[in-house]
Amino acid sequence: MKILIADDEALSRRLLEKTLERAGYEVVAVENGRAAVRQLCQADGPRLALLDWVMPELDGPGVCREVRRQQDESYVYMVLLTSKESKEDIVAGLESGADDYLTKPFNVDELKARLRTGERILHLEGRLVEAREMMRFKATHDALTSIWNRGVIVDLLGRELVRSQRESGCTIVLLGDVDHFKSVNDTHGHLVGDEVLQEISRRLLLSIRSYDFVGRYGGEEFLLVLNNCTPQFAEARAEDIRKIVGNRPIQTLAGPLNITMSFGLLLSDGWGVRPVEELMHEVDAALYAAKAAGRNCVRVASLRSSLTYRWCQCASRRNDYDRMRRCYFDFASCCKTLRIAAVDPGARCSRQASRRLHVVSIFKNIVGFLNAARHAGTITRIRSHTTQISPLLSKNNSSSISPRFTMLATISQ
Amino acid sequence: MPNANQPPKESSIDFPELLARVDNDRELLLDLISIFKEDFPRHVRELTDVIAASDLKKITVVSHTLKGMLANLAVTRAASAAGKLEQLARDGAAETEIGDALRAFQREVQGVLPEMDAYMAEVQR
Repeated sequence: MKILIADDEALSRRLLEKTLERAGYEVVAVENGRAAVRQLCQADGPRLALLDWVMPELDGPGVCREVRRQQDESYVYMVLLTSKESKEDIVAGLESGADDYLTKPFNVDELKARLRTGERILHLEGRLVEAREMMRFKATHDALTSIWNRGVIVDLLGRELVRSQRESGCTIVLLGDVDHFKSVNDTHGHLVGDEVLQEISRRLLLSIRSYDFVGRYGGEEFLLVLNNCTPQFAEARAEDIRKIVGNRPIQTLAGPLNITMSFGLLLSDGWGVRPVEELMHEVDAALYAAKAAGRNCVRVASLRSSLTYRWCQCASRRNDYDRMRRCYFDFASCCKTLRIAAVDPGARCSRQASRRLHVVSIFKNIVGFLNAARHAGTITRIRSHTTQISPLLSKNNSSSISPRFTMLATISQ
Repeated sequence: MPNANQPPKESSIDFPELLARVDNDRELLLDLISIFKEDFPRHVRELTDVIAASDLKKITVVSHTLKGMLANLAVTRAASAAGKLEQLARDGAAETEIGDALRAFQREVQGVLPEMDAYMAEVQR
């Protein structure tokens, strides 16, 4: 074990050095307090230290204080060597952050015994840190694939979006979904499905740079965050990633399987400042467009191709909400690519309903929404349903706006 | 000529204690003695200088260093004399008192270096 000796006096340093080397320690000896702090605050510095009390520049208690202030990664066990014997001195030494003290001239056996106590504490600390790191890993990584879990990858995305905004750069957001994954599970069983997800994670990791991020977003959905990208190469990069995943069969217990992925792609620089959720909905819509286009391809979310509208309507009574929700499900079923996926701030929206929801811009009433839909060119497809929706909403006094809940819809061409 | 009635002068160095301290490692002991021979006279000179200058803070520091060195080599009485000086300086004692303590210290360390030399010669034989 590595141990630091800090003593300005050569004779005492040599004696300690030799004694500790004989006891099996790897000794680092320094002559003053400043050098001791530098050594002890290094990432791989000694974790056990014997510090002389009286030293030039920075004394032993000063070293303890500095190390306790700077070093919060690993615990350093510090023993003060002192010829001071008054109780006040000893209390001051321990209060500076020292773990123990030893009176000079030291007795070799006592020195070794006290250092063994320090080693025991450090060993225990090491085990606790290991356990904490394992917990931290489990809390941040997906258990099956060991890539970032949803919470972390979404946080990382938020951070990268803010950064690229600040630096006027561009972040690529890539949301991928394994094609026909359900049939893999249904045909070959979940173990094979798990193998497929693990291998896909590995391939995705191989396909990105060390400073990009990949995480498991949902069951068979993966989110990639590629920093600092050149926008004109974005589609080519996404295509490369798609090919890396899909070009070779995946070896499984059920034999080799040809697995492909569809991707929605979004370049952050075209969207201004928007919340992460909003961009996720956009990239999700692009992913659906890729699915609708026959899968195993990439589709780009852009303001032009993903005409998205948010319709907001409020009601104060639960019945109204339910009726409106039914209307929206009718509405959704008429439009192949339309997805409703939104939100009820009053927490009345069921989990299933909120899963289907999608967010985007606000219309105070159905007329504004329909006008926007007409303008977007989707009105011909929803016309038959608008007649159904309008009377229902007009009966519910659509002019009275209450903040109880909000429903939102996204329409993609 | 030494007085036959006077008991022989006791050694300044507690050699059994010193050997225990280095775990009977004679090589280390020679190493320590050579460091001592180099550093000790320098520190003693420094001590007389700071006492002449009546610099109490420096007297405390230098006598503390000397005390440590001497204690490490089991020169116990001289280490106590250095400790006395350190305490007096820390307490802000009068110059005469510090002067007396310095002389007592000097008496104690007088024979240390020759004793060390003799010991080294013996060890190296």
